[in-house]
Amino acid sequence: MFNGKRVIIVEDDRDISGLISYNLRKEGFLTEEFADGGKAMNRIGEEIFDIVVLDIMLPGVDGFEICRAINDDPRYSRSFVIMVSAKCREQDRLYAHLLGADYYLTKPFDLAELISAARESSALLDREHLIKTSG
Amino acid sequence: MINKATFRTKLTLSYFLLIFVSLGFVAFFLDKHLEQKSLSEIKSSLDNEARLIELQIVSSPGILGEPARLDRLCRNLAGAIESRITVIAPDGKVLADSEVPFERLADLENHGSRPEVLSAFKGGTGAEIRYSATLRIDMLYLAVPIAEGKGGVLRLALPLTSVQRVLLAVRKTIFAGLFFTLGLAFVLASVLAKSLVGPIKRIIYASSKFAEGDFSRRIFHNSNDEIGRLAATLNKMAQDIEEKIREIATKNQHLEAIFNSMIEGVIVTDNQSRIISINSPIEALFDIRRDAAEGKFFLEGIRNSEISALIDEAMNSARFISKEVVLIIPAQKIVQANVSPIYEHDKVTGSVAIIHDITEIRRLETMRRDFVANVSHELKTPLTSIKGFVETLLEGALDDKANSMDFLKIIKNHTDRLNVLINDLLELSHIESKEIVLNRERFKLSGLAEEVIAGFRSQAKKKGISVTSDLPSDLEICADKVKIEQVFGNLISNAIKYNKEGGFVRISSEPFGDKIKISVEDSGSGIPVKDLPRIFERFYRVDKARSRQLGGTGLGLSIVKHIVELHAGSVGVESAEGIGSKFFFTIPLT
Repeated sequence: MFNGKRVIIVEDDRDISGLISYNLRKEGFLTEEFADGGKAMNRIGEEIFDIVVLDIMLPGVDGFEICRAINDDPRYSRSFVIMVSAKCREQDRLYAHLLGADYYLTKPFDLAELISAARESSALLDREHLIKTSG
Repeated sequence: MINKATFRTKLTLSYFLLIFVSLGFVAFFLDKHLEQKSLSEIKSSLDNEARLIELQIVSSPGILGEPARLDRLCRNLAGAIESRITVIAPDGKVLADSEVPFERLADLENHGSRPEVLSAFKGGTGAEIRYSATLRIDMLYLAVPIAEGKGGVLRLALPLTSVQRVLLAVRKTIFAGLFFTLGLAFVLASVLAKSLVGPIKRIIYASSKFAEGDFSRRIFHNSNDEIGRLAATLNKMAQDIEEKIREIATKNQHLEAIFNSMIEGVIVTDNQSRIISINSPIEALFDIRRDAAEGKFFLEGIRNSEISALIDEAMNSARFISKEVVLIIPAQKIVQANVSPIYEHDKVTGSVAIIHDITEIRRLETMRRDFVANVSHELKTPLTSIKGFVETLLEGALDDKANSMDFLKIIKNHTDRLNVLINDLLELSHIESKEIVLNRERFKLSGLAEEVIAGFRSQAKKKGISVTSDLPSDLEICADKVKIEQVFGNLISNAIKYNKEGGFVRISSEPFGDKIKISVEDSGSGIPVKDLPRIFERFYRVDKARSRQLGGTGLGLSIVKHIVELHAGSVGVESAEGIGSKFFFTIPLT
């Protein structure tokens, strides 16, 4: 099951963060958890993650800001952003996609949905890698 | 000159002139008539006298040949009739003259050529008024032939002084009468003119008052002639105008009252965008004074270009315009500006702008929206954990013995948290509904505090925190005991939760006017200064993660604030970071 993809989880609720982490680890992802937006930004600047799971309402820097920064960062051009938020208005979803989010899940989300988003991202990353190495 | 004279003078003069002219004519003809009449009377009596004397001469035979006798006769008769008697011979020589001495007769010139004598020689009666060179006065001469001219001519002469004296007397009477009548006529004309002019003067006075705007006056009149009718018409007009003015004044007062009692601000402008009037809400909204702004151009009086543009647009397009405008000066406000053009005969003559301050409405709307968003977020967060962990367990984590127990505990925690949250929300909504009735009773505050402290004993013991109450044992208040218990519960719970290990919580009181001020002091981490003003807001947390972790809903202090305010008290907080916080509230003693 090990796929080795690196996931950063930015979520201020420790339990939700733990929930996502537990399930993604079970899927073979390597996870790191951050409750503070600012600290997460620093970490993102240091290293490149394949998947970023982002909450919107965060202490410090909010999820939209982080999403925008990732979108502007060329090193992150192949990474996937999964936004997880209690904000369920259509305009928030649209705004997230405009800022470059690939998935937008509203809380309370279905666990299956989160896992499939992560798997899909992983598969797309693998395919891209294959094309690159074979070509 | 005559143009400047008053109507009364003109009228008086007209009367006077009329009477003068008519009386003058009468006097003139009367005078002439009397003069002629008296002359002819004198003439005829002189004629009769002459005839008598002629008869006397004729009947005295030979007298004409005796000059001395004739002269004597003449003198005697002349004395009787008071006239001069002259006898002239047919050759013109004077034979006798009553006024000339006999001896000097010969010196007299020939009288034959005198006109009256000539006509007497022709056989008629000659009469003439002539100035007598001899006597140096006007004389009436009358000559008759003696014995049909054969005996010469007899002439009588009467000085006209007597005639003139008579005439003068008559004229005097006439003139006296004339002047008296004229004087009387003048007085009468003056009085008559005055009585005619009086009402006109009253009309002039009253109409000048009307012109000045005083319509309370009425013109006194008691006749039904043209002037009387004019006065009545003017009175009616004044009364109508007065009523109209009163009606308009009343209407204006009503409008003014409405204008000033309106909560919305009103600005009335003319079509040049000059401010005609504003009401007190506008004064407050723009921090201007009514008397300073009225009469000025809009932008001079009220410095807001956005509203000015709306007014211009409404007048130019002749349409109602409504727009939300954000004011920055003098205070940040949101207003709804409704501008209508004012029409007068299809022409725009100005505008009315109604400015409705919707800052509070917008603020409440924002608060409500934020609250709904907050509530949904607060509900969804525990729900996400519950749903997620249940699904995780269902997906096989049940077999993960190392973690499944933790997951179940998390699920339980979040279920409890949801329950607490819902209870707090219900409590808050109940307190805020204003329908709440406080069950006031007198109770000892220290007793209640001890009860609450006892409830937190185990929690405090875990962190090694000492909780003490310095409240006087006799301190009694009259309040809703259950609600005050909630206040203590929330404050003490916070004080323990955010305290450091081995810290303290102290409850104390001090008099505060007619109230008592109760403080709950802790030795916790304190609250950053920037968070202090918002600490009592719903869902406001200094540290969200820590609050959730400690089971806080973010509503506790908000509930405290509402309960205290329901009791006519107030809440407050003092804090120093790293040293501790002191929450306090005041409650009326009675």
